[in-house]
Amino acid sequence: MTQPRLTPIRLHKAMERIWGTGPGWQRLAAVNHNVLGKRFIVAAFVFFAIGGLLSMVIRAQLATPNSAFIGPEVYNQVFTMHGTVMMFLFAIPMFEGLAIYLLPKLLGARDLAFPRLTAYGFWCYIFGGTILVGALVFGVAPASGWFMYTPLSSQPYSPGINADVWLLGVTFVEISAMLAAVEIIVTVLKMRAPGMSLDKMPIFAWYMLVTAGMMLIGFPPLILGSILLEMERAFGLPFFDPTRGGDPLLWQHLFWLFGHPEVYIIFLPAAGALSTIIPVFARTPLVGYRAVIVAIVAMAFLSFGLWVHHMFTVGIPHLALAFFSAASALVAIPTAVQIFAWIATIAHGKPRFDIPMLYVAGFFVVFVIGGLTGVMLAMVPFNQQAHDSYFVVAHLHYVLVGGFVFPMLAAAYYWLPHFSGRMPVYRLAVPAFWLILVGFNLTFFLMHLTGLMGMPRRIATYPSAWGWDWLNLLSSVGGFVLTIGFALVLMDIIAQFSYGRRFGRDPFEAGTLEWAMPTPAPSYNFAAIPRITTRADQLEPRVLGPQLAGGHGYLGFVRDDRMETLGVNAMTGEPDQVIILPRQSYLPLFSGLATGLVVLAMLFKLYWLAGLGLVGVIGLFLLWTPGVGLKSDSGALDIGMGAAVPPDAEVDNNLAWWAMLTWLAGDATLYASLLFGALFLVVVAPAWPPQAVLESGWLWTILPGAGLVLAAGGRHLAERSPVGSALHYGALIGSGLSHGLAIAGLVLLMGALPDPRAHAYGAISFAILFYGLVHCAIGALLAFYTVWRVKAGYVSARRRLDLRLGRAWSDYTALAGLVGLAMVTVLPWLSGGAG
Amino acid sequence: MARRIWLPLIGFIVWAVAFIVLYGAQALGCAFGWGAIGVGPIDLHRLVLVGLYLVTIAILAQAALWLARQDKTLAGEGAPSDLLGRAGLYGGLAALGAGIFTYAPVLFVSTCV
Repeated sequence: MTQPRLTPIRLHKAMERIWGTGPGWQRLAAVNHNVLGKRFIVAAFVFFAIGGLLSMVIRAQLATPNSAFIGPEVYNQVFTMHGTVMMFLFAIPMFEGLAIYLLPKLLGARDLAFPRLTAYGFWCYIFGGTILVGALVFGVAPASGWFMYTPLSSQPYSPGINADVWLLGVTFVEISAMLAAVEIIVTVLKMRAPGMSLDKMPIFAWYMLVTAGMMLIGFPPLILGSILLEMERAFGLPFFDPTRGGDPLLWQHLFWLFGHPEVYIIFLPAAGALSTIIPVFARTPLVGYRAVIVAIVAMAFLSFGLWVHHMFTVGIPHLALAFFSAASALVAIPTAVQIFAWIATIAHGKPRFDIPMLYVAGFFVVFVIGGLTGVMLAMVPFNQQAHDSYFVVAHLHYVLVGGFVFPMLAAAYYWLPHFSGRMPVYRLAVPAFWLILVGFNLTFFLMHLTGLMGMPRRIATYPSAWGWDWLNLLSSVGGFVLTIGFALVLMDIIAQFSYGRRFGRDPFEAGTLEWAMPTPAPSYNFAAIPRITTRADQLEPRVLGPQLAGGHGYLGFVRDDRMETLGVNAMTGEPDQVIILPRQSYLPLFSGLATGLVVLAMLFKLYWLAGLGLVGVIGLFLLWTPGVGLKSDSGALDIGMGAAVPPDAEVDNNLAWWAMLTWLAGDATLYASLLFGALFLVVVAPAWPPQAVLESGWLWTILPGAGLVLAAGGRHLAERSPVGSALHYGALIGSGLSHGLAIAGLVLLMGALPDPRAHAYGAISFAILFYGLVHCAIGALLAFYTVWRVKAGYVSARRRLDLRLGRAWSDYTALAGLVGLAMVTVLPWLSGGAG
Repeated sequence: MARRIWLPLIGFIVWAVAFIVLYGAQALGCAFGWGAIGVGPIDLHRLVLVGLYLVTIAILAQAALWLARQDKTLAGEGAPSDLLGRAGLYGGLAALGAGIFTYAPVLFVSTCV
């Protein structure tokens, strides 16, 4: 049925009523990506200011030798929190916020794939960040460095809650990052404007797709490491204790398996912003679009083969060092491909120099220096000389500030008019840039010299007459100059929002879709969704914008007060479903609060309360779902432009399906890291073999193994049998009960293990089985939940999503569980062989 | 058709798997003392590593050739397949170069020292 057409004003009002966030307390129910993107960015900026203040304290302390400004205990907390805040609470959330705000606009969608998850992720970020910063205020902040190396961070050497604050707080924040990764992947692949095939995607979307893929693979090792270390600290499971079969190097491997890709995870979105901004100001398309795509894919993979260059001095054999050294040097090539593409774009075009281009120029200078010192540090002999010296501090700041902060400032000056609807006030922007550039180089260039003169990192003070005095003093002066620069940027932003000149559409004559809408952006982005016929960075927003505002395009109407946007084929960009998004809700906030309760209860060792909180979290998650989906088959829906497609609930490969596959990929990475940890301990750790092992292990695996297979089989049968039939219900309930059987078997097996606190063998076996147990519990919950969904009418022969999701979960659980059982059975043999 | 989205990744997926296998073989060989077992002029550890290196290069080269054929086929199909075909070929060649360079140390660097 064709939908009635409204006038542009009526259409705007109708859309705003549905998509907009209410006033007052209703702001806490916001799920809109415009609101949440801005909140992420503002919060990240606040944390950046906190991290910056901490850096001022560091520079004040180090300005002079033998300083008594703050003692070593406070200093340790300050430098730990500086790194932690900047990496986890500023850099990652800042680009997440930018992606959350921009991606739907660049792609031609009205929101992200899972608005409530965006909101939940935001609350996890805020509460986790508050716990971390609150700990600093109360003097119990983490003090073992932002990398939390064991044994320094282990219970005997960090007996307070300081390290627990880091482990639990950062893991809490990482929930947000993992959710963002899933959202970004699904949004980029499935929520583009019709006609926007992969080859027509704006380059920023390619960058974010690759970045999100890296987050999905890169963050789980850190989450796993944090869980294992917390289990060691709280319950005495000795994963990292070398006297009981653990190994501190396992922590370093898990941390840097996350930590090095993290650098590229931070750099790539910034590079995406550069690849978007430079062509606009060069007034020519990006040179080497395809080469850049290959370069970012290459960079993503290579970045996972470098992590050991943070561990070149720990005593790893030369051959292993050589692998990582070669990969570390090699990653310079895809980086250089991008840099040359940007230079070529500027050279081919007719560049005009505006404030964003100032920061682009600053980026080139600073980042290239950081890259070159990176190649130096990739060389093992040099690295061993400069390791843990201020040379490394200089290098990492050149890379991170050059590769992220400068591009983000360029992005801020480029996209702030989109947020504010006003142009920048340039009087402050230029001196601010020069203060930042000069201040930065004064601060950090000199650290190369102090490092080469032997000054180690993380020392609270230093004696005089080692030649470091004047270099440190100048670095501190530079630090304060840098801060003044950032203060001017802040004032400039405030001035822009207050006094900036208003503009029409597309002030920079860009060619991307985000400028084809009114600014500040309406909650729904586009009154109608465009059809894309050319690459989506070479459009004409000034022409396109008014057409879309008038409702000329897809879905240029309101239907049943639903938040509708389009889903497309991942390759071709042809529309294949109408996506019906969930409305505003307080549930993400309450779920975030309940999750925060779990974290706090664990922090204070109130495990009964943590258990209650967990039940609350699960209950709240279940409350999200009533109302999501359709209770009857509707068939194809009119989407305008003479086309009709089914609603997402009637499509097999809809957003939730893609999200499940994406999530399982991240989950599998965590599991693979755990199995790697087990093998690492067997092969490398001291104090092996253990004195006691599981006897007749294979006998114990029969019961859980049978439960796992039956549970997966039940889900397959449920998917194939007629919906609502006795066989269907029987298969679902059978699957749930089989998961219960597997849980019982796993509990028995865990009981048969030697004391997991006695040796890492027992601990790692226990962790593998516990992983399976958690998955079985979720599988059982999903089975009985699906029974309810079927009874409530959400499932039919056409609406099979619940069945497919449950089957995918059970299949994965069965596979992972069986691998885990095999591992636990084989470990005693392996440990004997290796020992 | 959606499977073509994997084309740009194939070369480096092979590279990454080879990384894990070679790094694992290096660690296992040291743990189990393969270096003490002589096989002609070299030891078992070196033999395994060099063998894996050659197999890796062969697979990467084969993948690059296959991706070149895909590129040729997909070029005729137009967008978006042609982009993925060409990106796949570039990625395959880059991964081949990366593989030859990254793992070459198995030929001459001491294995367990």
